[in-house]
Amino acid sequence: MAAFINLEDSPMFQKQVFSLEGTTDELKDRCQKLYKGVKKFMGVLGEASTGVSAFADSLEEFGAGHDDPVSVSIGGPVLSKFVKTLRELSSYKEFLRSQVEHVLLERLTNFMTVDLQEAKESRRRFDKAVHSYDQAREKFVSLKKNTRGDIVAELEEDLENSKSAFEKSRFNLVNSLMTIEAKKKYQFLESISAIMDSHLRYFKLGYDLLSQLEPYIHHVLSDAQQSKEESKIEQDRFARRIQEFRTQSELDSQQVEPSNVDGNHVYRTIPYKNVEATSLSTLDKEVIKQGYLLKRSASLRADWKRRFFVLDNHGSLYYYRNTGNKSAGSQHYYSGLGEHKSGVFRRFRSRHVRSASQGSLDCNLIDLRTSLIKLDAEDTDLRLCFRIISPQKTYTLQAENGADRMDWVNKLTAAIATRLNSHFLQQSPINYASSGPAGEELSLDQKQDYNRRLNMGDDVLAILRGIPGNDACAECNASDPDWASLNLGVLMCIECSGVHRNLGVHISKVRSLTLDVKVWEPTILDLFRNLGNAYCNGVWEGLLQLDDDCDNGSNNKLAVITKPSSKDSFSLKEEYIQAKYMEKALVVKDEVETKLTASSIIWEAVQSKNIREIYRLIVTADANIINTKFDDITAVDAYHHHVDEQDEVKKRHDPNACQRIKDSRNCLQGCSLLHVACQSGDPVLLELLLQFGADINMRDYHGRTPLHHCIASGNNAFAKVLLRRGARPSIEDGGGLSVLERAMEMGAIADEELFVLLAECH
Amino acid sequence: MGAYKSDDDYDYLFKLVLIGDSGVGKSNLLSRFTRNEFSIESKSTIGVEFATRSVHVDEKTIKAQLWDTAGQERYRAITSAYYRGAVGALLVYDITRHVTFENVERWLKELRDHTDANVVIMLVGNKADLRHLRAVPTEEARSFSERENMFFMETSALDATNVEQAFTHVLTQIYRVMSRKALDGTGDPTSLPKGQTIDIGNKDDVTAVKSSGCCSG
Repeated sequence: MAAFINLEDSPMFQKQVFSLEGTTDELKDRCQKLYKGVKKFMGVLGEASTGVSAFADSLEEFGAGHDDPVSVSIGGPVLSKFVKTLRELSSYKEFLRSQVEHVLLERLTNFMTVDLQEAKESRRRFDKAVHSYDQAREKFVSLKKNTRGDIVAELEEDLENSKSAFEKSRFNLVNSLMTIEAKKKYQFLESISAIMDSHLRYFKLGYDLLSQLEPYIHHVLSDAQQSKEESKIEQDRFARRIQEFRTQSELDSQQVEPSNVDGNHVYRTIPYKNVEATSLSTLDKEVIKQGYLLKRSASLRADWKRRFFVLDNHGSLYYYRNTGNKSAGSQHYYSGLGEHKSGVFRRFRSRHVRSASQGSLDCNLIDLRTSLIKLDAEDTDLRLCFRIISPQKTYTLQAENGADRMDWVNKLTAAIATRLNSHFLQQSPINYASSGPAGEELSLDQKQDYNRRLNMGDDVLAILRGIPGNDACAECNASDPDWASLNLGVLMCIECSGVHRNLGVHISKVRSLTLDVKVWEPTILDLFRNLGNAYCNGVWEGLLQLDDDCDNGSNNKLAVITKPSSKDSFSLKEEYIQAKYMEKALVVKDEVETKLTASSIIWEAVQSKNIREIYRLIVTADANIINTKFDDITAVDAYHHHVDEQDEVKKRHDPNACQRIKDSRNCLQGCSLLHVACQSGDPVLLELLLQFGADINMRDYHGRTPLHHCIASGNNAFAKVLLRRGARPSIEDGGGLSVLERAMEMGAIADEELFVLLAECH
Repeated sequence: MGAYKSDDDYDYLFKLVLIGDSGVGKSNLLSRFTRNEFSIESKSTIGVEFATRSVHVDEKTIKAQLWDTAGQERYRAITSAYYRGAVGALLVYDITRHVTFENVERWLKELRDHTDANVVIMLVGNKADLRHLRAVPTEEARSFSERENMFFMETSALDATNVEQAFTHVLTQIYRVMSRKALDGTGDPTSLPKGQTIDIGNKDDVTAVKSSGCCSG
């Protein structure tokens, strides 16, 4: 700017203007180049931003969902965090792009279109003004001396005008040039440094964001590394298992015996123990046997299909069909054989078959409880066949070799036997029969409950076997008994359990140690702990042991009764067990026992919570003393408060009117052993009495059931036990109030389960 | 057992349930009505609580059997047993917490799902003593209750405002429809929203109707 010290129109001035214009043109060229560069840069930035967000979108689609299993399996929740970060990054890029646009591009455009254009315009106007000034001057100068004064004046005025226009546009030009000169000194620096600054902020934001994520990323990386190692180990293990399986199957195939066509009785000689032994190891759903069998289809064609059958230790047999690819050519081989008998099988068509061929692994459950195993195929002279005959359907199956067939038949027979045993009399069976092989239909609660019990399974066996005498069957001394009589408190082998079952539930309630998972509550275990085969046999076989002691054979009756061994025949055992429990032929009876004394002795035993003594008394008593009442042993009049003759009957029975209840919350009149047991707070005592059939709804003098007693004394746990065992809460006591109403009187029922149990039957 | 003394003698026994969100003051309403007690730092109710109180209407003794449970969770195991046989309900919200009023609709649905259609319901805006914190305008609640054919009252268990009235009003209404006095119009028509008659149905529907003397004591 210093160049324009002299603003007069002079060649020096002109030269300066020219040189300035030159630099302006140069600047314009460069600006245009820069503009192109910026445009390109912005385009790249915009693309990068959309690219990143497209990547984030695809990543989310790939597996950032939290719900679907595929996403979860590939680490969806982790990905979603990354997706979020990527979106952030994309937005930062977009922000940077807009910064470039606003700060650089717009200003540059402005500079080019406004300032540079202005200089150009000024130049044009200046040229025009120069031209008209030149013309005016020419005209004026070329005037002759004789020209009229007015023309001279006119031209002079023109000249003046054009001169001033010239001057004005000259200054305009200079001005706009100077503006450019001035602007270029700061504008570019400012814009570009602003751009650099926004870059700085862009990277800073990105750094902040990612550095926050850094520990997480490292964590995920190490996790991934870990899972990689784990899966490698898993793969190795699997490979080893495959190897083992192959060697095992090779061994098996070497052991294959020739098939036993006349095998109808062979399976009888193989003891049930096979199955029991496998199922003992755990109470979990464990597969006893599984493998492929050829199953004759129930359809018209009666062709043979290869199906995968699974028998588990709960006695459920189910089979899967291979979906999709048609397996094995073998079915065609057999189809010809089956075809001419198609008519026979028409009636066996089953819904199982029709419901087939969905995409998933199809599974059919065969109800074994009512099934029978036959070791031949229905009028087929094929080898290796056997049939499962259930009321709904007959399955004709063919094993791949003789040993396999025998194994299947044995295991199925044993499973049916155990299923029948466990089902018989079971009051609350687990619904595995109807809930499918994997128990999917069990509710969550049930499942948790179930799992808890599974964990208990091994313990149950260990606890029960550890009780004195429980290492052998109470009847035949067979080792490792895994059946029990709940009320008799003894363990026995499966054969003897069959005899017990025939005695009827009023004498023996048979349960399996391993298959009946629900009955083995802690109280029942405690009851067994208190008894045991050794003690119980001491009671039930008292005479036998007496006989051993004084071995003189004086008692003729005993001579015919001898304890069987495990090798003895079924009928021998049956005879013995019936004599032992039904006739009580071996029980030592106290000589002088009237009902009164028996009652008072058991009453005392209950009060002193002597489990063994109570057991002995119940067994040895002639009469049924389980429902002994207080009144049976005491002269009631001496015990109970006086009853005024005038008193209404109602009031006499109202517990609110009883002074004893008021004083000590306890009035024994009319109470049964069960009432006393409820007050004792001993769950084992309660269990014992209930097992021996104590009347759960017995009412005392005041009309109160044991449940009333429990509620009155706030013993919610016992109340729930009683309710689950069939106590009726609707029974009203002498005051006309049911158990629920009594509970309401007390202000609250904090136990919601108890509330529901009480209210349910109300 | 000493919780009640001579209130064995009654003409009618009505079961009333208290429902509403957690912390609206159900238990305190109950204790205020039955024992004239208020506890400023009461704990959340566990299980189900019961209380009784007898009131006199037209020279008849009406025994109210009040059921109270925690408001935290709905649709639990106890729900159906809790509502069974209820002839009246106090649906309580807290006037200082609008959300408890918003939930009234859901409580109402649950109540109507589990009880007879003719159950007498009173909407109760509790904590009326906290005027400066009011979040639910009286008019909003009143118009809602009229739409839903409920009675409405604002109470304070703390200073005992309207507590007695709310319970008594519900009991009286149940008694009126029970004894069919509402039908002939002699009953107070203004007390019924929109002049509607609530028919409680057969007498058999009610928990227990006892005539005196069957259990004199």
